[in-house]
Amino acid sequence: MVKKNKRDGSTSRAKAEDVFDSEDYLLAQTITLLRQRLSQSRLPPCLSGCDEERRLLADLVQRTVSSGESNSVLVIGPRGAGKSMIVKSVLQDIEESGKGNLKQNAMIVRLNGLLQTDDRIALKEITRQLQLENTVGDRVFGSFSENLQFLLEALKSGDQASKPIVFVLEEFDMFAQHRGQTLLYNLFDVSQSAQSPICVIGVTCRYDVVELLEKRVKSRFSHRQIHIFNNITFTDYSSLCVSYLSLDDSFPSQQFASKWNSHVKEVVEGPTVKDVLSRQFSLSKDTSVICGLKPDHPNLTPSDFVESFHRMSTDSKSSVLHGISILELCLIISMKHLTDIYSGEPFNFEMVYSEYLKFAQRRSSVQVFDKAVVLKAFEHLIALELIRPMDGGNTRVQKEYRLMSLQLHATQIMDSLQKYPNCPTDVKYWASSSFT
Amino acid sequence: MESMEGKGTTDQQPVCHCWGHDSALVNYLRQQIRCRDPQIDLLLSLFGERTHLTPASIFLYGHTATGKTYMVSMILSTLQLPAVSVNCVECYSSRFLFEYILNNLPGRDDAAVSVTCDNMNDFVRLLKQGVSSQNLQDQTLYIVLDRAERLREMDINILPALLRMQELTGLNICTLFLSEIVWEKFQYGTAFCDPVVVYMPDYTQEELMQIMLLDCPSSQSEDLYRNYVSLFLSVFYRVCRDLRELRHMALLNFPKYTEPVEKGEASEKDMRKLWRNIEPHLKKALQTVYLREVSSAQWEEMQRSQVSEDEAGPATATPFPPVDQSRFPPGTRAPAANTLPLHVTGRLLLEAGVPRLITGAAPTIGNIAPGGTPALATLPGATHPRTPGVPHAHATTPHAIPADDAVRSEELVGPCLSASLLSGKLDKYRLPGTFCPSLRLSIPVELPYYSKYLLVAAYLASYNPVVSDKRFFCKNAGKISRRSKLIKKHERASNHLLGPKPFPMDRLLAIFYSIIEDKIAPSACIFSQITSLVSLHLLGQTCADSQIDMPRYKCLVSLDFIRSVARTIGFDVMKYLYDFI
Repeated sequence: MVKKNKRDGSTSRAKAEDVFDSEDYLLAQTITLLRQRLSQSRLPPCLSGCDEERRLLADLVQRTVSSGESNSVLVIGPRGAGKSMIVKSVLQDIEESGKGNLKQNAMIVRLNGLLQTDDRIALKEITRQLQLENTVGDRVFGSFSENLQFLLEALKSGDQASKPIVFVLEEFDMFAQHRGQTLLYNLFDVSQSAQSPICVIGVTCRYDVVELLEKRVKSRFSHRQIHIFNNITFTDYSSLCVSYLSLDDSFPSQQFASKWNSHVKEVVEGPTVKDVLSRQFSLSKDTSVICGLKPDHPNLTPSDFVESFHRMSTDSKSSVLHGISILELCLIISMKHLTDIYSGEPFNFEMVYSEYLKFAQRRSSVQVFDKAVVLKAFEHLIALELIRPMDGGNTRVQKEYRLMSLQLHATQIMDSLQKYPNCPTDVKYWASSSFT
Repeated sequence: MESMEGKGTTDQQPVCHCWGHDSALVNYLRQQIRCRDPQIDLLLSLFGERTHLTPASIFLYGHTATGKTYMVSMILSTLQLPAVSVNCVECYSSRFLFEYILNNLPGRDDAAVSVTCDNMNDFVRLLKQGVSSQNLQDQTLYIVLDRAERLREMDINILPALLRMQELTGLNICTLFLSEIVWEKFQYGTAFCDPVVVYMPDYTQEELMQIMLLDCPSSQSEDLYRNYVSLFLSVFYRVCRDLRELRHMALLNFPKYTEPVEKGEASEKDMRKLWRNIEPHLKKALQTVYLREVSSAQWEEMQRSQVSEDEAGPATATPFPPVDQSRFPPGTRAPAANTLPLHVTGRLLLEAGVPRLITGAAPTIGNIAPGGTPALATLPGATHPRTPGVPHAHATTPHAIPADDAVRSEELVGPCLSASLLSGKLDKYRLPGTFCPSLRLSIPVELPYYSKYLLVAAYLASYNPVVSDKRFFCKNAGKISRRSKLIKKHERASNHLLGPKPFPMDRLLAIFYSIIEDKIAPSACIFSQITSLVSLHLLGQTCADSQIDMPRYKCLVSLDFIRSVARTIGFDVMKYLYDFI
C-alpha cells in the first residue's frame, strides 16, 4: 500500500527527524495500519450513510436474539456498496451491546455461496459451526430436512430451552443455484414455523434474486428486502477517501497523527488528486475501488495518485497489442478492414491471408511471409484471445476456414498503432485507409 | 523494524526501499532479473514487509517470455517468502489444485500424510489449519497460479473464491495470477472482486539485445556475438518478439555466422562479409520461425547437407517439385546412398495400388503400422508398398531424419502419408491445415490412378457450386447468360476463401465419371478407394457413420496440392474451377 518512492519517503522522513526520533517507527506503524484498513479485513473507520437500513437490520436481528422471533431478510445492493460491512457491523454492535450477549444467547452461522457449493457441504459446515459433530456422530439421515431438524433439536436439548441462530448467507444467489434449493427451503421453512427461532440474512448483489427461487421456496420467504445503494456524492467520496487514509485517536502519537491527517487532507484536496478522484468517481461509484486505488499508494504525493489511477485505467488490450510482432499487427489490421468491409461479419484465416497478401505484395518494403508462418501468427492471436472462434471450438472445420470475430475495437487498434515502437509508415498508412 | 527502515534510506542505491528485506538481496534480484526494475519495485511495494497485509490478489499479465513466472519465483525464493506455486496446466481440476496447494505449503514435512480435499469449503478449512500448524499466521502467504487462464475452465466458484482468499480465510494471503490474457477475459458472473492488475511490458529491441548477449558462447568473443545479435534482431524482430524463440534461433544459426572466421576467410571485424555469408541462412530460418517442423539437430543437418549440395551443383528449389517421375532427378536432391530406383518403385506402386486397395486397407495396415515410422525413417527404400508416398518423401527431403527423433519424424513424414497416418491411429481429425505447412518441405503424395481422379473430383465438388456442374460437365452446356456472368464476377474467388463445402457421394461419382476417360464400372474398387482417401484424411466425412446410404464428404486438400496431383494425370484442374474462370 504505501509505496514509498524515494522522494516522498525522504520528505516525510526529513520532517520526521526534526520532531521525533522514533518517527520511522511511527511511519511503519502507519503503514501497517493503513494496509490493514485497505485490505478490507477490518471495518472501515467510519460508516457513512445507510443509517436507515442499518437500523432496520439491527432491529430484525435484535428481535430474533432477544425475543426469539424468526425472520428472513435479503440485503441487496451493488458490489462494493457495503452490504457485508453493514451486516458485519450490525452483528458486532449487537454482540457488544451487553443486553443480549450474542455469544451466550444466540449463535451465528456464516455461509458463503463460494465455499459451500452444494447443500451437503453446507449442512456439514452448519454442523461444524454449531459444534454438533459429536452429537451427530455416525448417524444416518433419511433426508436433508430430517438432518437439519435434528441439528436444531440438538441445540434445544442442551441446557438452554432454545437458542436463536442467525444464518448469514453471503453470495445468496449461488445458494439458489443448488439442486432443489433444499437448504433455502428448509431454512425458510423453519423460519416460518414456530420451531426454533432463526434469522436468515441473505446477502447478494442480484436484484432479481427472488425470481431465482422456486415457488415453494419463495412462498416461505418473508419478502423482506433491504436495498442498499451507494448514492454517495463526490464530496462524500473524497471525504471517505480522507477518512480511509487518516489516523484515528488510538494511534500512539497524537502529534504525528494530526500532522499526518492534515497532510493527507491537504494532498487529497489538491487539484491533481481531486481530478483523479473525480475521474475515478465518474467511472464507478464502487467504494471498494478506492481501496484498490490506494493499496499501492497512500504515497501522499499527487503524482502517486495519478500514477495509480493511470495504472488502474490503462486499457489492457492496447497494451497487449503493443507487444505483438509487426506480422501479427498486419493481420490485426487486415481483420479490421475485413470487419469494416463486411460490417461485422465473421472472417476466416484465408480471407485475412489474402487481405494481407494484397497489402504485402504491393509494398516492396514489406516482407511477405510464408503461409505457414502467417498461420502460426494467427494462432498466436487466437491464444491471446484477441480473436475468437464463432463456433464452440470442437466443430470439424479446418482451421483456415474457421470463422472468427475480432475482439478489438477500431479505436483500440488505432491507439496502439500510435504507440507501437518503430511502426513502419506504410503499415500505419494502410491501417488508416481501408482502400487496398 | 526501525533499523530496517533506516537501511532503506542510508543506502544510496537506486533501490528506493527494501521493505524490511536485506538490501543486498534486493540488489541481487535486480541484477538477476534484467530490464524489469519498475515491475520489481511495484511488486515489492505491493508485497510490503513480511508481516504487512497485501492486496488480496494481484493479476500479472504480459506476453510469452516477458519474465512473469521468472520474476515472481525469483522474488519469492530470494527473499524467502512463504509461497506455493501452482501451474494450472498441471493441476487441471479443482481437486488437484487444492491438494497440490495443501500438500506443498511452505514448511510442510514431505513425509507427512498427503491431504485429500475436493471442495472449496474443505480447502479453506484445511488451509487455515495448515497455516496455523506451520506458524505462518503473521506472515503473508503467497499462492502463485501460473497460466491462470486455465482456471476459467474449472468450476464456476474457483476463480472468484481464489480472488478473495484473504477475505474467506481471514488470513494474510495474497493470490498471484499469472497469465498472457487480459483481465477482462476472466470476468463473468457476479462474484468477482477486482485484483490489482500489473502489466509486464514486452522487451524493447535494446532490452532483447541486452538479454540475448547473456547467451554468448564462451568460446567466442562478446563483440562478435553482439554484432551477430544486432544483425539477427534486425531480421527477426519484425516477425517474432518471443524471447525464447529468438534465443533459440540465434543460437542455432550462430555457428553458420562464425564459419568464415573459423575457416580464416574473414576476420571478426569484417562485418560486411559475415553478413553476406549469413544473410541467406537467416532468410531461410525466417520461414521456419515458430514452426519447429524440424528439430534443431535436423536443422543443423540440413545446413550441412546443403553445403555439400551447393558443392555438387545448384539445387532446384521449387516448393512443389513435379511428381512426374521422369523429371525427378534421383541423384541431385536425395542423399545419394539411400536412393533406390524410385521411379521404378513408384510406378510399381501405382499399378499395384488399385487391386491391393480393394482388400480393405485399414485392418491390414493397422498390423504393420505400430512402430513403423522410425523404421521408415531409417530405411527409406524398404517401405511397405501400402505407403506409396513415403519413399519419395524421404528421398526428396533434403535432410535425413534421425531415427531417434521419432516424434519429429512422424510430424515430418506424417504429411507425406506416413505409416502412422495410414494406420488411422491418429485419433484427431488431421486437417490439411496441420500439414499444409509441412508440404513445403515435403513432396506430393503418390496415389493410385483412380484415387487421383477421385480426389480431383472431390475437390471440384467441394469448391464449385452445384449449379455450375451443368456448365462444366454436360456436353451441351448451352449459353451462359449474361446475368449469371455478372453474379459470378461479384462473388469471385469467394469459394476458395470460404473453404470446402460438403457434397454427397452421388455428386462425387457423377463428376468422377465425367472427368475420367476410361470406362469403368462403379465397383467395390472405386468405393473402397473413397474410404481409403478418407482414412488418409484427404477427404473428410461430414455426416455421421449411421448414414450409410448417402455419405457426405469434404475435400481437405489445398489448391497447390490438387494442382500437383492433377498435373500427374494430365488434367487441367484450373479450367474446371468456378473461381478461376
